[in-house]
Amino acid sequence: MPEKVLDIGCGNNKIKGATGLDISKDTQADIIWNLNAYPYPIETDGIDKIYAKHVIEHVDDPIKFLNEVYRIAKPGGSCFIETPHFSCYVAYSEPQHKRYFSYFMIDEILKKVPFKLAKREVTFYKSFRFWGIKYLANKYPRSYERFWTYIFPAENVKIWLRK
Amino acid sequence: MEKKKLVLGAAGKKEPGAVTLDIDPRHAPEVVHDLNKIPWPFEDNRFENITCHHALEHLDGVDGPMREMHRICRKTGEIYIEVPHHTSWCANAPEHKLRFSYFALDGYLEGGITKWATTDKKFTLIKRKITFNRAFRRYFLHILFNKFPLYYERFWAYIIPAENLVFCLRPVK
Repeated sequence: MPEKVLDIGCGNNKIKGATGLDISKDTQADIIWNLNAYPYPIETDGIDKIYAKHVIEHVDDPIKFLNEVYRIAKPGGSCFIETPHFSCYVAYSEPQHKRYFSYFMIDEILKKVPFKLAKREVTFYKSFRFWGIKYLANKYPRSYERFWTYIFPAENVKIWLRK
Repeated sequence: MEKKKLVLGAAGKKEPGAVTLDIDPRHAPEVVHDLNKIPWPFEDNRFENITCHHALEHLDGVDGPMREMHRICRKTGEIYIEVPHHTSWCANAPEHKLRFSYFALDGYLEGGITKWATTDKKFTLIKRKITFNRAFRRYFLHILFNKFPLYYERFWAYIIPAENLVFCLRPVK
């Protein structure tokens, strides 16, 4: 049986072979749905891989959102989340953003969501990657966020979760 | 004679030639209205000039207000918006709900670079600039950073913090 992939907030950049979900009709979405309305029209334990790129900063309640994503994920399935880091200008370039994420914010969220954290990283623009800042920031994330965030602004926070 | 200028969030400032609007009746504005409540109590194409000075960041979202400004402003008119830049020390006041970068209103501009904003109400950009404190203007950094805003936002925004953002817009009708 082929793997079921769901792209939440797909926009016009849908992942190949995925079912798309978006609030807007002018996208490649297969399901038009407002993510603030629960439950989502997807069966429980149905999806192998869920992508939610640049979505979690738009929803009203990220904990409720991730609990709902947990419901639709298959046991053993995965969920990938990408969101702008709070030091990136992109976080402030879209007035629809409700909040800004740090490397550690997912820890607080996972106290209320049963997902397991598989991996996470903070990404950088290429001129910072060149200087090895990505490696250092991901090796010492607490020092990075405490002392260096505003000197070397990050781009995104990527989070891989497993049910 | 009908006044052709509107001041949103006037907060007690008196402007004889303009209609003043505020949420707080203690400021004695001409119109008391909550800008989060759509529609605003003005007819279409009513104003030539709209000033929105440090008001937008207090609202729940910009989509409704931008649509309303598009509606009530004439196509020859001009909308002046000033908000704190997200790196400004004023940006994190407790009554502020939104933060803005140089590219924050791109979804509403003609030919704006954001592709994810969904709006049919577009504006022509007349002017946009980041303003800085005198301590930075002394070294002409405001000229440099306004010339290369993307580099400013990406690398320098937190090292040389800005003060405000100014947008001058004209609705496309």
